[in-house]
This record gives sequence, C-alpha cells and structure tokens, in this order.
Amino acid sequence: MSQSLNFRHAWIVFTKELSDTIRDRRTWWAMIILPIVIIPLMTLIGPRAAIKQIEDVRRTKSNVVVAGAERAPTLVQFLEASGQFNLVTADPATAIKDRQALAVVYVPADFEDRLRQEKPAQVRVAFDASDQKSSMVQEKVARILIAFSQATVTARLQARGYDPNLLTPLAINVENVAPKEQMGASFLGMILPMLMAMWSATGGLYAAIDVAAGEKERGTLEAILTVPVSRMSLAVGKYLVVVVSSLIAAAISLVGFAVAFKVSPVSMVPGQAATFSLTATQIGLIFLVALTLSAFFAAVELAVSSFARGFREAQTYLTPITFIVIIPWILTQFVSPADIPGWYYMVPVMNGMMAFKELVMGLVNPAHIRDTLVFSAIYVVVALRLAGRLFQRESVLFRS
Amino acid sequence: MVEVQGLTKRFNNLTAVDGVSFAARPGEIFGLLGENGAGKTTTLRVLATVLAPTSGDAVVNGFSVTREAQKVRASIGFVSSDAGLYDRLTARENVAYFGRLHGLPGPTLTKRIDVLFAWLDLKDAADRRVGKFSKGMKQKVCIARALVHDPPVMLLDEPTAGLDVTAIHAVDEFILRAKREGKTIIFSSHIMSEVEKLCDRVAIIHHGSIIAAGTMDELMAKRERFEDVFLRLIGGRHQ
Ligand SMILES: Nc1ncnc2c1ncn2[C@@H]1O[C@H](COP(=O)(O)OP(=O)(O)OP(=O)(O)O)[C@@H](O)[C@H]1O
Ligand SMILES: [Mg+2]
Repeated sequence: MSQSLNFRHAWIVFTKELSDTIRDRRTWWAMIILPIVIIPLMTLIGPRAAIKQIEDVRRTKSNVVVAGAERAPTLVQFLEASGQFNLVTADPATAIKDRQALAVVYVPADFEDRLRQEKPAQVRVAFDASDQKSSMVQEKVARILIAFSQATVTARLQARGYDPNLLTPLAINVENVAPKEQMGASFLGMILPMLMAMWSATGGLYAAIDVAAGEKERGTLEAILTVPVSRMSLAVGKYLVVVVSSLIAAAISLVGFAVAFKVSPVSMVPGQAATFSLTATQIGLIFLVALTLSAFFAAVELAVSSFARGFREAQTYLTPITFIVIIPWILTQFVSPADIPGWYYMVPVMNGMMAFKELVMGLVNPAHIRDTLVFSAIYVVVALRLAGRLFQRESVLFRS
Repeated sequence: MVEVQGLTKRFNNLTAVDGVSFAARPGEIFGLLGENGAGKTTTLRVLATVLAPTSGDAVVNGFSVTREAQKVRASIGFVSSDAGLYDRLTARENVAYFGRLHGLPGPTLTKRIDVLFAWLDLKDAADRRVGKFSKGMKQKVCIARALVHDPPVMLLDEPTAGLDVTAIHAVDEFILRAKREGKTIIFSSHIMSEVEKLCDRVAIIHHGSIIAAGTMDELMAKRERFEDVFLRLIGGRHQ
C-alpha cells in the first residue's frame, strides 16, 4: 500500500471537503457567527455593566443611615456638606438588608463629648461586602470620615498655634507612567491568548468531526478507501480543511475583538485610557503563532475524530478541548513573560499562548518564537502521523 | 478477471472468510450466495482492498490485492448495500469527486457522468443535493460513483437490497449492460432468485467457506450434499 503523499490528491480532497464544510450550517455557526458575535458581546456588555455601576455610585447621592445622628450633629453636618449622601432614617439593623441604605454609620452616645475632650471616638461603618455598590459607598463614607478627622486635627493644631503642615512631612503623588499603549497591551496580553486558543480549538471542531468520524457514520469511508489514493493524501487533505476552518475562526474573532476595542476602548480596560497598536512584523508573527495553534488543534482533533466510531462519539471526545485550553491559560496568567521558565515554550498550546502574550506586549524574543514554532511543528507532525495511521487501521475504520 | 486463492480473513478469534477460492471471467456475472453473516461482504471488502487478508491472495485484473493495492483500486468499482453519499453535495458532485480522485480529466469526466446518469435515469436529479434523494436514487448514485472510471471489474455487494421493483429493474439492466461490455462482475446476495436471474455461475458461501460452485443447473444437481443450507436459501426466493 503506497503511503506517500500526493499533493494533487490531497488538493482534490481539500477542495471537496472545503465546499462540503461551507455548506454545513454548523460550521458557519462555529467558524464565523460565534467568534464574531460572542467576543464583542462579552467584552462590551460585561464591563459596560460594571462601569455603569461605578458611574452610578460616583454621580448620584447614596443612601446612608447614621445611627445616633442626634448625638453627633458635627459629623452629620460634615457628611451632608460633602453632598455625596442622602442621610435617611431607618432601622440601622435592617437598613442594608432591606436596601434602604448602602452603608450605616454607628456613632457612640458620647461622640461630641469625646470630640471636645480630644479623645478618640469609635465610629463604626457597616456595609455589605458581597455587594459591589455597598462596598463602593463604604469607601466613599470612609473617605469623608478621614477628611472629617483631618479637619479636626487641623483645627486643634491651629488652636494651639501650630502649622497644620507639621503633620504632613511628605506630599505623595502617585503617577502611572505606563503609556496608554502598554495599558492596552497588558490587557490584550491577558485576553488575546485565550481568545486565539479557544477559537483555534473550536473553529475547526465541526470540520474535524465531519471529515473523519462523519465519513464513517455516513458510510462513505469504505467507498473512499477503494480509490487509488494513499491514506496519507486523504489525511492531509482533510487536515488542511480543519486548519483553514480554525484559522478563519481565529482571524474572525480577532477582527470582532479589534472592532470592539476600537468602538469602546474604555469598556475593555475599565477606568483606564488604553490604546493599542501593532507593527507589521508583530502582526505577521502573531499570525504565525495563531497558525501553530490552529495546526496543533486541527491535528489532534482529526486524530481523535478518526478514532471515534461516529459523529456523536467524536463530539463527546472533542467538546472538552474547548474547556481544556483554559488550563494552560490560567497557568500563564499570573506570570509576566520575563519570568517564564524556558520549558513553557515546549508545552503545546501553552507555548502559543505565551508567545502571543509576548508579541502583543511588544516583546519579541527570537529564542521563544523559535522554540514555540519548532516544538509546535513537532507536535503537529506527530498528531498528523497518528491521524494518517488511524486512517489505515482496519480495526479503527470498522469499529462497530 | 478475478482469481481468489485460499483467501482467509480473521477478526480476532472469528474466521469470517476461511480459505475461499474461485475465479470470475470477463463478461461473466459471478454470484456469491450466502446467508447473513456467511462472509460475502468480508470477501468483497478484501477484493476491494479495504481489508487486508489474513492469508491467501486474490488477483484482480492481473494485480495482487496484497502487493498492488493501488493498481487493484484503479481496476475496480465497489458498490455496497449500505454505502453512503455526501448529503450536502449534488449527485454530480458526489460522482465527480471520485472521478477526480481516479485522475479523470475534466471533459472526460463530464461526459462519463452524463452517460452514466442517462443509463441510470438520473439526469433530472443530477444537480440536486442527494440528501433528500430516495433510497433507490441514492443507490443509483452510488453505482455511478463506483463506476465513474469505467473499471474492468465490478464488485457488487447486495446492490439491490432494500430497493423497490422499479429500482431493482433499473439496476439489473445496468448490470447486464456492463456484462455485455465484457466486465468481470461479482454479485453477492442472500436471495437465490436474484442470483438465478443474473448470474452465470454461482458459489454458495457458508460460515466463511465455499461449499459448492458452478452454474445454477450444476448446483441444483448436487443439492442433496448441502440440503439444509440450500433449502434456507431457496426460502429467500419468497422474500
Ligand atoms: N470488522 C469486523 N470485525 C469483526 N467481525 C466482523 C467484522 N466484519 C464482519 N465481521 C463478522 O464476520 C462474519 C461475516 O460477516 P460478513 O459481513 O462478511 O457477512 P455477510 O455474508 O456479508 O452477511 P450479510 O448478509 O449480513 O451482509 C460475521 O460473523 C460478522 O459478524
Ligand atoms: Mg454483507
């Protein structure tokens, strides 16, 4: 049995499988609709809601209960003067639970006395830490209480004839020097590797199932095995269709993401002005890395799909792939590219994700790129060999 | 020409085909008659190079199935009863795919498909997707697909199973036309009357072995040697 690869045969198989795939509605769903819709939705709507909440708390007056308000007129007046709160009267014990207020300030009975005697007065702030809004209001209240405390100190120092600056030996200004590009890049470096891996994995999934397991299930495999075409040519033609589907999905998700980022950069990086730009070389390299991810997933998916008895079985084996990509992503999440051990670049998928992160952040490390490409190529060849071999094994072909 | 020599195929412990030998000549329809599980499909799959024999060999159109599989593949058209098609492709695309893989150049391929579709009465359906075709139409497309490269040897595994009378008639006509063209045809069935109708010579296969072979008349004469099998197969006449 000739096992050599015939490019003309592989091309015939490729074009046939491609037009067959394109006519499959499921492919369109996995390859084009999902990647272009889901990411913008996720990245635009999710953070939008969070931002809206922040803005809500920042802009409107929040309801706060002061328990024992009548005992602390000075403090109440100060809170009111800040213009940030509606001081409501409600049962302090249930106000937060009943959503009548977002925070409760407990003032002790001897508040004004202790203030006058220049002794510390215990003020307690209650809030609901499980509620983001309540937490934000608590911070607001705390800021005003600190301001009250400082105003009191200033008054006391002045009464004694001291300069209030005595207590501020340092004036501290914190400044974010990361350029806008880097803010954007750091965020993209986090999210893009996941995106690319996910769509490289899902984009070709249906094609992989269809061209191998599907061929068995439909009963066309036997016929195709009686034409004078080597199993390797068949496997390669089918493999290329899966790679192309994966790549298309990855590219489309990238486009959807770029559009979402352009439309609303703020919502992508909450609270920060971030922009993002890449050089042509970076884009080229990113494409190369995306290709290695797609090539790897396609080979694995085709191998698994040729092993499965039918559509349903292939689907059962392969669906977890889309979740499994989360594991290397999490592993790469909390390391900055500079601290990554070299062997990360030899682990499939992980190396692609790391290389992605580096490239997006503008760190082009030739050794890492080389390792990523070389090791990915090795994995692809191994997986493809396996897929090709499975096409030859009778026990796998007629496993029923 | 097909010559089978001591062909054996084992699946793990099960011997599906056990030392089968026979020969079929050009211009002849050779019947393989046997009950369910007798080993008909397995024999034809080995001839079609889909399965490798455990031992023995077969020479198809002068080529060995064990040593010259690719040349055997170029010489055969294999039609099975439960073969499938690509539902999202049209009838013409299904057949053309196989034609291209066989290396037929474009114009020759188009002409050949037109001829086959005319013989099989598929002309009107040629450019419709096969997904919604009736079983009979699908089977005709399978036949066109298997024979697109005009092979000298046809391996037909219960090609009319599950078809209605009209479709069976069309397929029978097609097979007889191929016989007149001088092709070597092996036709398997579990129904005696079908074999009787089409075949010049018949081999009865039972538990993987050939228990009798010859013309229909010769088999009738020797029937007492395998009475029980024969009676069951004759029963197939009334199915
Ligand atoms: N791939 C396989 N793996 C294991 N056993 C198999 C395989 N294919 C066939 N067999 C077994 O080999 C025997 C012969 O099967 P085969 O399909 O050749 O019979 P057949 O004459 O075509 O029967 P039918 O009339 O039902 O089509 C049966 O017992 C079958 O279960
Ligand atoms: Mg059978």
